[in-house]
Amino acid sequence: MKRLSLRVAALLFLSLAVAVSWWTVRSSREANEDGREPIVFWAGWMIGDDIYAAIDRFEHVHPQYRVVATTGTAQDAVGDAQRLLSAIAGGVPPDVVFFDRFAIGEWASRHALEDLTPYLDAQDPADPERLDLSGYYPWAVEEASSRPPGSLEPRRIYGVPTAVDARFLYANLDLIRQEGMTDERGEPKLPTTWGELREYSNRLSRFRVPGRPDSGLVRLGFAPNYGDSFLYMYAFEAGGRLLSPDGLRVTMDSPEVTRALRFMTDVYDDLGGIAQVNAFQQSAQLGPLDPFLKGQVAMKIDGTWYLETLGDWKPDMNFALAPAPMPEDQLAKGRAPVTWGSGWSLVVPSTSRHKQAAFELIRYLRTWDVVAMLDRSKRERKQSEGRVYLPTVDADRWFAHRLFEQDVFDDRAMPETFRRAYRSLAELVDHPEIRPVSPVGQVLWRQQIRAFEAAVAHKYAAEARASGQDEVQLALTRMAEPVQHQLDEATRPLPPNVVRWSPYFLVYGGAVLAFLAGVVVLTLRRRRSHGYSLQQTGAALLFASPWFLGFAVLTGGPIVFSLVLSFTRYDILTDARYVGLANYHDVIADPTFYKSLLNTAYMILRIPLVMGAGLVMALLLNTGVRGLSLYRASLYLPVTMPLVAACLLWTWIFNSRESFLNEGLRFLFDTAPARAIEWVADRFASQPVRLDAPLWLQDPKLSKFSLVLMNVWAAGGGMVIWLAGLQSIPRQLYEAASIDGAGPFRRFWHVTVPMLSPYILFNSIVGVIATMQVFAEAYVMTGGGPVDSTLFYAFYLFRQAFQFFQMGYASALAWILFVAVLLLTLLQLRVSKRWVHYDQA
Amino acid sequence: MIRLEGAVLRPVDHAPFHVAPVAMARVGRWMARRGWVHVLLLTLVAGCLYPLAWMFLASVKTDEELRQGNALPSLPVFRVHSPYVRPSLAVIRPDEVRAVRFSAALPALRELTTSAVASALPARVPPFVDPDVWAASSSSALLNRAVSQLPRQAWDDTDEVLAAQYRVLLTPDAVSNAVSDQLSRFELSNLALASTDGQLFSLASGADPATWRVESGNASLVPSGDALRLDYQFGSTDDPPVVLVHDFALPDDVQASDIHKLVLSIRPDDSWHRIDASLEVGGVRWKSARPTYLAQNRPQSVAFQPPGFDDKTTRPRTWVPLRIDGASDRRRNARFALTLSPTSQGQAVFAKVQRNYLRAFDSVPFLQYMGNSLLLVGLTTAGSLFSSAFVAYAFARLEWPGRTTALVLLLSTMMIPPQVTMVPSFVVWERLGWYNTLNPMWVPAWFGSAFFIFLMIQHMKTIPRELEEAAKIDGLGVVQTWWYVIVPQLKPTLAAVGVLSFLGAWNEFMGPLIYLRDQTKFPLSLGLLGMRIDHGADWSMLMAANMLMTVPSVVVFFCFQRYFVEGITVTGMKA
Repeated sequence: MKRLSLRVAALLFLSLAVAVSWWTVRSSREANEDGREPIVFWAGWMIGDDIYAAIDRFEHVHPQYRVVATTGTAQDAVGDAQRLLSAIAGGVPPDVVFFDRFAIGEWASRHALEDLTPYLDAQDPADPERLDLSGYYPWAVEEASSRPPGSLEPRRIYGVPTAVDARFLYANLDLIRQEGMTDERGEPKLPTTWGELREYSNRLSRFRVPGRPDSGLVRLGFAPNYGDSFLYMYAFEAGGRLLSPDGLRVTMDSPEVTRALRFMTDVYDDLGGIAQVNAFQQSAQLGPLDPFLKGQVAMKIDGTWYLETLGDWKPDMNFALAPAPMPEDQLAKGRAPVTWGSGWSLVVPSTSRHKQAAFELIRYLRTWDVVAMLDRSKRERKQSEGRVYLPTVDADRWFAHRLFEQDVFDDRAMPETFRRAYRSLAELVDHPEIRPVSPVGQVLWRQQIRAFEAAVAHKYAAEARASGQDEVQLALTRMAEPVQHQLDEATRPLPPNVVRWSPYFLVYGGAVLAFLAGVVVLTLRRRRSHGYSLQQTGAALLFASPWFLGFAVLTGGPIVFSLVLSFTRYDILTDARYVGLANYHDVIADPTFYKSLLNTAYMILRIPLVMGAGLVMALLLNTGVRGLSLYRASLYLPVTMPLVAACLLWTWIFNSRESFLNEGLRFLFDTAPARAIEWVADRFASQPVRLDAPLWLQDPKLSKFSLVLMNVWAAGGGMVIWLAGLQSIPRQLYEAASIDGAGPFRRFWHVTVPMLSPYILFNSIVGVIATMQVFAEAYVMTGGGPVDSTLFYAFYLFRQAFQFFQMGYASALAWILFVAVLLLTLLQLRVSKRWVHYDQA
Repeated sequence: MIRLEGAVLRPVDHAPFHVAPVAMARVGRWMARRGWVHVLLLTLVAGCLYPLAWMFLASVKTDEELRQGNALPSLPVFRVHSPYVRPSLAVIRPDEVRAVRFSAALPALRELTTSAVASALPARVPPFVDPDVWAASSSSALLNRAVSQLPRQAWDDTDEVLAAQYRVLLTPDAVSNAVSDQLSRFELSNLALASTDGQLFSLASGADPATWRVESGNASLVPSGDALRLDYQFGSTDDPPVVLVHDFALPDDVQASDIHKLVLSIRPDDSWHRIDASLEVGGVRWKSARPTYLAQNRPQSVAFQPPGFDDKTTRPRTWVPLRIDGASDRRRNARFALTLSPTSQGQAVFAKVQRNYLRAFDSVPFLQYMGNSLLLVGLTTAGSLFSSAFVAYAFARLEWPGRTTALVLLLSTMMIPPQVTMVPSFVVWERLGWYNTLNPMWVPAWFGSAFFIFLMIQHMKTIPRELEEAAKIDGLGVVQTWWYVIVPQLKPTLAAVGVLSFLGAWNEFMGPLIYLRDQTKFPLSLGLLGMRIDHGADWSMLMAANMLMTVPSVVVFFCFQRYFVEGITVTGMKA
């Protein structure tokens, strides 16, 4: 009977294995059942619901094609690149991708995108569906085109622009009117120059203690980098550029750019510093909680897309959209207000297997019929939710204006504020500047943010004073260096030594085989002395085989591989090339590396907190309280909540002003004792003290602690383990201690703690390892911000690898992490010998 | 105070009810002895559960409620009449105005508002609407709006200046908006037909009263602006429904099979009464597959759609599907009917509770995500159970050279952060052609994870050797011994490994992020993140999806709770 069931079990297992392998083989092939050529299309969600209707029609018109469309899942535009890169490296790239135009320069320089110029030129001039880019906003086409830095050949087109956006000043007219800044007719008047802007900012801002910026902002008048403007905006306005026209030199520290950054810094100084403003940064305050909507921010510079937020959540808001103010002297020179634009495009990855088909689809999607249909479906979607529909700006100028007419100007239900907004928008979107198209676009982007952060925090003030330099310029010079470094690298020929992998494979395979051979040889030779038998060794190897195989292929091999990679430059798309110790050298010189290390170290804090909370719960439960299982279950409930779900929940708890956490704190701070504490603290502190619910995730000082707090909430996981440990402590020990006259605290300290010490050790080792890997929290909740305060090591590594293509650099980081974890664990084990108590078991 | 289990697990004496002082003393004693434990535990439990309760409450709110920040969602009320007047708003004092000044100035402002509103009310007030109540409600809305716009300096000025400034704000638009907003009503504006080749035909525009007729029920259609207002009355929930009919001829070049959707624009009256639609065309009678509730007060559109290519896609299902409900004699002369039926209080509450959940289901391929997650979880859990019990035997029971080395290697892999092997592993899976499949996420489980193997080794070591020796005498081979003798002893640890690996796979996040290309292959965790990105601001729907994702893991834990705890206890975690 029993033997039969073993056979049945073996049979079942075998059939399962066969079924699974058949299924995996099948699923790994691209399903291509009906002989049509498949086109895989990654459509962004913003493209419109009727994309499927459009595709259906496309398949009717071109029966030889089958379109597989999905929407991309991206944290942001850069995040999506990570998935695209994976797909390209995975050998099954999508054929058409909805792509952030800004990244085209970088991707094109890595030969990851197909040059569309020949496809465009090969079109039949008489074709009614001919794609003609001459009617497009020229700056959008320029942003979608690229040429190597320093080259003078004509730019090649790598993407077909679809939507464009630009940045404008949004102003809350009610607040401006309230403040009395009106023209002679009593209508609110908007600032047009930098000087006016600064004055408005000061007049519209409110501090907790009037006139004391250091007491904290309660209302933000205007902050230069709040919303979406960045150093680019002010640099363009002051007539400066961040990269020389030939694309070979970083000109971030030119006088014009310095002037722009100084203006930004000055306004922040007026407001009491960047920390105050960061508290308002809306990164996670979406939708109905947006501070501008709630009147907590009077003016800001933001993108076209912000109109949608207004339409969705406060269509009756009294706002105006206007060109961003300019420096006085630039206006005097007769320059028109400038802004900078960006947007989306459709691209074809260079490894796509269906390029011509992909181009056909792009052409089709860019016809007026389809554009109008997609626009209509977006409108229907909004209307089905009872919301105002505001069209995005199409990259084809004529399409854009037609959509404005039908969706905004001719729509009688459209609030007048939006009509006015679209009138100024239509005018301004004609001639924006663009960020330079360059292989180092993303680094430049990151570094201009760093420069801004350094300048407003006066990071180089002391150094500049000592050397007699200008503080702002020094910040820019410093931050320009890494960009120039990468730019030089991109224009230099590649390192000559391509990695050949076969020797490594041979050596590694040899080592694995040697180990196995060693096991067999030792069995034979030590048969007598150690009592080994070939039969048992054979059985052991059979039992260990799954793990051994997994280790060799998925752990050991990859570790060797990543060690080799850490000495190379590798971007997955091209061969790895040796660069020696350069990666390690760069890591040591990289301030972000240290920052992420410190951030991760801070998270170690959660280990004792979570352990302590779990222990308290376990101690309470171990008092023999009735309803144990009910309590235990309730306390464990948060642990069963999936991490992504928990992250979303807590994002909202932290951000929403109305969440019980913030409401509760405000209620608490409004009581007499809290007021008294506040009053006393106010007498002694150098700056005014006001108790208020903190801005958990938006405050760089608090963001990590907020994540720790979320972890403590799920301390029930440890509790189960503690409880098991407590229940295994023999009663006699306590009885003996009681007889010796030990009170409850001494019993706890001298009996419970030593008996639990193995658990403490285990938890701290596992905790340290887990902490070094914190990733999802930062990815989902904060995106590494604010000001890199939650950029944890694992996240930084992920970014380097899958967002910036720096696989070699990421491997170096990974190895440093590995060594750090190893050392920490060994250290804990070493120290543990002194305090961990093992009983007879 | 720490007490030992055995010592306290004696039955608590349930004394019969005595006189009050004695009882009080008892309560006091009870509090001192063990009540405080309950109090502390209850506090902790409240802390743990409140976020979850809050998540649930948020998942049943509308976005107006979220914006207002009410702690509890409001309950729908049964409406007898429509239109009806919405409740007045409380006036909010701007932060910078002193309370004394504000309350002194308020009567005059209120006076101005009331007179402005009085002149804007229509001469013919809808039936059942009390004009005075309507005027008062509109005034309160207008007052609130205008007060928030008043220049700050005006409050410091004289009453006359303040009044003058205030009057400027009472523009005809502002007044008529307030009057219109405060009347809750059901309006039909447009009905359009979209064909599958992308054409749009307007069938009925709201301003023309002839396009719709009331076929039955206690209701009438009244033109109102550029829409048709439906005045209706339901005495009770048993009242017959109101049926509205629109007859139309199919546009010339459109066949019945070419109908993509019918788009109806309405302004609902927040009564939570339900609408069902039917369409007779091309010899077929279509019926809406689910009701639409008249929720909220803002204009919106409803799309009714027969099955088509949209159903095969992953696009958000924002339409109401139509399904065949028999034959009809109408072909090109189509008939579109709306049935408005009364909703009882209970039905309305239920409709409101399920609303965001249905939206979550409709806006992403939720069931597909769920299926992927279950597949992933099932394969991972099965793999972990098998491999950990299997591999552990080699380490716990068999003697072979290299065992210590291998054990050290095994334990040290626990320390390797997955990020270290992320890039090379990716290359391995890609070479196997497993990019864009679920395989890279679950296949490793069949190779065994160090932690689970370790748990098993610890447990196996505690199993007495004699059992195996007996088996050997019975002539069982090694594999059989493992299967018949060892595995049955491992149940608690197997349960613990099972639960842990279930939770791990259910949570798996970075793997799908790197390895999956197609949305149809996403598991819930990544799908949820996608939802947050695509519908980021729609928190009530996100929280509903969050609830849906949390429930299965809670259920699994509670079903296996006993084994799980036992497994942890037996294993003992002794490093």
